[in-house]
Amino acid sequence: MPHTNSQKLDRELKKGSAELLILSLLEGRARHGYELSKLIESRSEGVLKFNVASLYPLLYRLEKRGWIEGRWVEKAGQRRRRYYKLTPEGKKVLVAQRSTWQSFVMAINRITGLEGA
Amino acid sequence: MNLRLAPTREAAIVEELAQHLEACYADFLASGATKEEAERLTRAELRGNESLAQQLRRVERQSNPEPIILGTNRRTNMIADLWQDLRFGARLLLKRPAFTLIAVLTLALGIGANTAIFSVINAVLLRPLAFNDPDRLFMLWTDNPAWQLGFHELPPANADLPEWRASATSFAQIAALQSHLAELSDDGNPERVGGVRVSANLLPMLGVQPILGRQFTIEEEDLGKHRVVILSYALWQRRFGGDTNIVGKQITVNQVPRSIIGVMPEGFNFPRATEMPHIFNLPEKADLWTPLSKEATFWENRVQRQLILLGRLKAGVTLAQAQTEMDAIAVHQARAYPQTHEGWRVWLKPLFNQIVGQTRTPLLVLLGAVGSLLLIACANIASLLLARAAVRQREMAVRAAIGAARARIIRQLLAESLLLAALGGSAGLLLGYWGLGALLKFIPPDVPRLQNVTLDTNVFLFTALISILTGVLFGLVPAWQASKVNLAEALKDTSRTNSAGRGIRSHSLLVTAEVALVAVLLIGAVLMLQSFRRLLAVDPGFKPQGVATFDLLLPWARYGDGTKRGQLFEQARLQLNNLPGVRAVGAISNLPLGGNENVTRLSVEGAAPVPRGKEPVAEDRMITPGYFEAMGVSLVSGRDFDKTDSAGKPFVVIVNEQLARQFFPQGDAIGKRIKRVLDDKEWGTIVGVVRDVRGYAMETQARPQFYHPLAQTPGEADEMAVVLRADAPALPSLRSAIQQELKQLDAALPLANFRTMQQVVTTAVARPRFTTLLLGLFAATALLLTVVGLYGVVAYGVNQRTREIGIRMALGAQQQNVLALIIGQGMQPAFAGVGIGMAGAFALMRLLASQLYEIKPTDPATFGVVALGLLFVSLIACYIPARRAAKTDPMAALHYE
Repeated sequence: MPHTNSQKLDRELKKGSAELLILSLLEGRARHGYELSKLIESRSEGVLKFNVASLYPLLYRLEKRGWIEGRWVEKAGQRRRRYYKLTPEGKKVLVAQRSTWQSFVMAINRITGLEGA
Repeated sequence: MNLRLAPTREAAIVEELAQHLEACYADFLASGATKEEAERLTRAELRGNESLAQQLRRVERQSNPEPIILGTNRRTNMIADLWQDLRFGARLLLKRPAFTLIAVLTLALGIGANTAIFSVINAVLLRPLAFNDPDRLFMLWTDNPAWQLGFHELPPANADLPEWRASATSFAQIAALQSHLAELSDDGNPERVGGVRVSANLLPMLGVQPILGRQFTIEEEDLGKHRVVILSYALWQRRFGGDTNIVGKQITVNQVPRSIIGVMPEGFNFPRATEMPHIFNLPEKADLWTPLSKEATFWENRVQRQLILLGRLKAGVTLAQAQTEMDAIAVHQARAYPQTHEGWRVWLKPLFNQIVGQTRTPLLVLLGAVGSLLLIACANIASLLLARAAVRQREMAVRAAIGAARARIIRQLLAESLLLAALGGSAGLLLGYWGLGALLKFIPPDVPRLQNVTLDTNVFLFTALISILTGVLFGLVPAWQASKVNLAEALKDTSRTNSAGRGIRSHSLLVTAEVALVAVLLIGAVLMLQSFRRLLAVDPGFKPQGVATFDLLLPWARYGDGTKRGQLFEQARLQLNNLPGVRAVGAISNLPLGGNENVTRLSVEGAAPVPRGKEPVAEDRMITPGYFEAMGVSLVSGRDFDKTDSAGKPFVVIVNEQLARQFFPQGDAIGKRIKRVLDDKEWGTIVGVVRDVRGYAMETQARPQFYHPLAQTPGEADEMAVVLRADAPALPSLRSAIQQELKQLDAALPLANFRTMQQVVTTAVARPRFTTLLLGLFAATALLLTVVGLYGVVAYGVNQRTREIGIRMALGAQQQNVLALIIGQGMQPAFAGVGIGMAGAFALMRLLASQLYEIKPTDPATFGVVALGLLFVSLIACYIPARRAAKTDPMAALHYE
């Protein structure tokens, strides 16, 4: 039971933060889907993993909202890949979400006594 | 449950996700996972809390809120889907230019060859005759088994025509025709044209109307009213400038003025030499028709047999009924006229079969050969596609994950195959057009109806059809294979999806089929080659090198007197003999291998009496002195004709070895006497025996032959073939030199049909040469494709099993073990294919029997050589990749890819 609850918590946490993760990784430069999934896994040191079934529906949803823009790019000698980059709208959303997330984390830390640890 | 996405959107999603999976797979392998582990882990990517399909559907529907109508008719989307599939397929093909090029070229080769051969078959075998209701037209041939001539299309007796017209109720019409060599000499420009004498009802019976003027009337068959002529379109255009007022004008035919009454439509030249048996000496094509007008005695003659008869059956009468009636008539005639008609039978042959009959078998053999070539090409491409399908497993897994139905996947893959086939078919059509041009240059001229060969609608439809069929054929197996991705099963750890193994099995089956087909082709080609070589080795009985020949026709009108004719031929011979470089000159009535024949029945003095109608037959030739020397025919005993064998002197003959052996087995022919049953009043004394000379065809053994001097029977000659033996340097200028000499003799004598004897011999074997060449070409191409295919399959297998080989070697296997393993497995389909091929060839080669000379269709040596050769070549194809595998570094192999 407790295990199921923590699985559910993981899922809810991921769901809430997923968009922020993607938008922030695209802040520096355009990336393709596989690159994004690898970055998330490596930078989170394995804690967070996005597979095909979770990553792409998310990317398409962000794209439909107009926060990111996908483009097929064909480099010499390679198959074409779809690269995503932030739109101006997406940049605004990123700033807003970052600020919201920061406030949220600080509030949780204050309550749970994790701050200053 | 599928996504019901727009096809472009679906294709884009599939492409993106498939790439992700490819990258995952590569990373897992790089990190040390085995292929199976990497496969399992990659498929796990498609697993999520909710199914991928559900999530995508939610996302896509958010932005495209289409009303969901249950039971929507999806047919309207199928065209859009198909178009999208084709565009997707086109992009994939462009991304792999090397594969696409190889596949398109292979297909173009196979389809092009089929197109070219089919064009010929379409014109020669399939197109109906350009006559009215052509299936009602039949030849009326006679045959006498006792004559043993080797062919059975003998002319009826002259008197048979009026009799059959009166008594054969099955026929609405019976008409007759006869060759009529015509020389036009208006404007001082003598020209030989092909002419035919026809009964007045022939052209109307065929149903062809003149474009100018009219047909012959029945009255014009009477002597006195018969000086009319109908021209062919080509002759009308060429010699008379297409003059629209030509009807009623006079022209001179064989020194006789005739009135032009009509012009036939363009393309009508019936009959052509290729359409009727050679013995009738028909012109290459008929350019001029005159009425068949004879004295009354001609039609009462039951002995002479010269005419070609054809008839039109009455409506509702079957061939069987007509044949039964003619059988009864033949029996009646045999009883009524035993001296001339006993032992003879009448048989009916459809005109169509008459015209195309001999070419049917070789053409169908060639079609079978190119069909096999195309099948082999398909097998190769299917192999290539199978290998590619293995690479596209990721894409297929994604398609299955997002809910694409299996039928949809198969349809998409088939669309790609059909696109490839369409490209191959278009290139093939172009190749076929060029190939046809080359084919027509080398095709033997005696193949009938070649004038009709063209790329018409039938041919286009055929090419389109075989393109589609090949696309389905080579696309279906890989599509079926690739679509077998059962995702649920694939996600389970337990499945050891040996998809690579499955692929290899399919490959092996394809190779077996290819090897079997190529074995059959090779056996056919090698048999034909051996047959042709034996044919070329035949000694024709004369020496063709350095010999030239031409036809000299003396028109009756100017040379009606037999003596005059004899004198002219002799004068021509002497004058030509004086030409520089000419060693010997002679003339003969029927040139060996020249395509025409004259046979007659013989009486041998002192032999046991033979019942009438069963006398032995022999080839009858009339020659001048110098003929044997010019042709290089050796005299075995006795002497040649000379000046003393002239008119008024005792008749003499020279016979060939075959006749001497048959009738004078004691070897004492010289001094004996023979006589032609029908024509000779006097016995002829044999003064010489010469070597056998091939007469009718190179394939036919020499029959009994005899020669008699022109000087003693000049009345029988109106056309002779003049033969000159000359030194090599003199040959090129010989033609003009001869023309000058002839002009001196008679300004209006045309020189016709000048050629070398070498060319005559070459033409005599043109048809077997052609068939052998083509069959050999197709077999060689098929062999190349098969070997490449086998090599590809073994190399692919080695590639798939690199890790396994590395493990084996790491466990102690030696190079020889690996070699034995790979070669052993690679040769299995080759052995199977050779076995099946041998069995198939054994059954099929009987069809080739009629084309083979002095070799059996089941010749064991041929079968053995082809089987061993094919196995050897397959061994090499297996050895090369096997050697590479045996040299594998086990460590590198274990970390492969």
